[in-house]
Amino acid sequence: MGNQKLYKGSLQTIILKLLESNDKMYGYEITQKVKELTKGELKITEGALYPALHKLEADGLLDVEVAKVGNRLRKYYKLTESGTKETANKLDEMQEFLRTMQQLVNPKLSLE
Amino acid sequence: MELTKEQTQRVEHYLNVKQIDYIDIRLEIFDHIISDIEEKMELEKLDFDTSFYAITDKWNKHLKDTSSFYFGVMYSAPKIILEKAKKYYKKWFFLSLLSYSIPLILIDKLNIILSTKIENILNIVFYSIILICLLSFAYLFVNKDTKKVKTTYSFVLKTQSLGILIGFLILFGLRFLSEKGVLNSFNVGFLSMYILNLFCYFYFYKKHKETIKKYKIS
Repeated sequence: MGNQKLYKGSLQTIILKLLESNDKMYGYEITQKVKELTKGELKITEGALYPALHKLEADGLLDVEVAKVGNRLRKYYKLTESGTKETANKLDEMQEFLRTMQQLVNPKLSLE
Repeated sequence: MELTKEQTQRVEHYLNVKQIDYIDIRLEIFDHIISDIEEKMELEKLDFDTSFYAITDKWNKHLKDTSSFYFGVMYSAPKIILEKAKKYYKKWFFLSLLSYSIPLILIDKLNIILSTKIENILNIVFYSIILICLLSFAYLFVNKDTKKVKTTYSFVLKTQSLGILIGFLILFGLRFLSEKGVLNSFNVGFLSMYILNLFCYFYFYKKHKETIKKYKIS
């Protein structure tokens, strides 16, 4: 898990992508989904998750919905209209970044 | 494994001690901690106390009382609240600086000299604006209802109220035009900044009210 720092800059894109695929999610669910998808390779801490969610909410990319689940209230995050557009932009940026990194670290593979 | 009523009360108590009484944040931290404890107890076959201490230990550093340059050292809140408040307030802080410096630069550059008639009208306009601002602020201050329910936005309102009130007292004593009919750029800039700060106050007032409505607590 020494490469957690490498993921840090991509946290917002990861959250946006998850919300694009799952309609609405709550904080704990996001941490668990990431852990499951990366087979435990990436663990999002509370200290990283909530500031990122609050930033996306403040930027108008996420909206909040409150629902009663069992005997407690749960706060769900979902994409706004501009959040959906931004997700597409961020994913394009990410693809471009991955291609560039591939060219840098493994030029032979990137030519194939 | 669902927690018992007594166990969830322990979590509630923990959040009370940490002063997480801002509804928009409390709800999600409460839900997160409960979900985390439940899973830990189930997967690692641990008892409630061990799980509770392990989970809350992770949260302690995010709930530590702290202050920020943006709100002033006299106002503190748990770190997670303060960080969220900063994300919303930062743009207003920089807009406020702009709203002061733009009129200041423009008036100094243009060096407009006004006739006595326009001077009188402008004086009336400036003091009417101050009066309208004061009445609007009084309305927002009385109706903000932050004692009953706290939100991240009510924290921002709390940090701004005193400044706005003192500012009005200063504004009423300011002269916006000199005897020669020249606009005082510093004082007009100050008024402009005040109007913007009032808009900022209204923005957070609206966010606070919307949050209360959204969380169905009003």
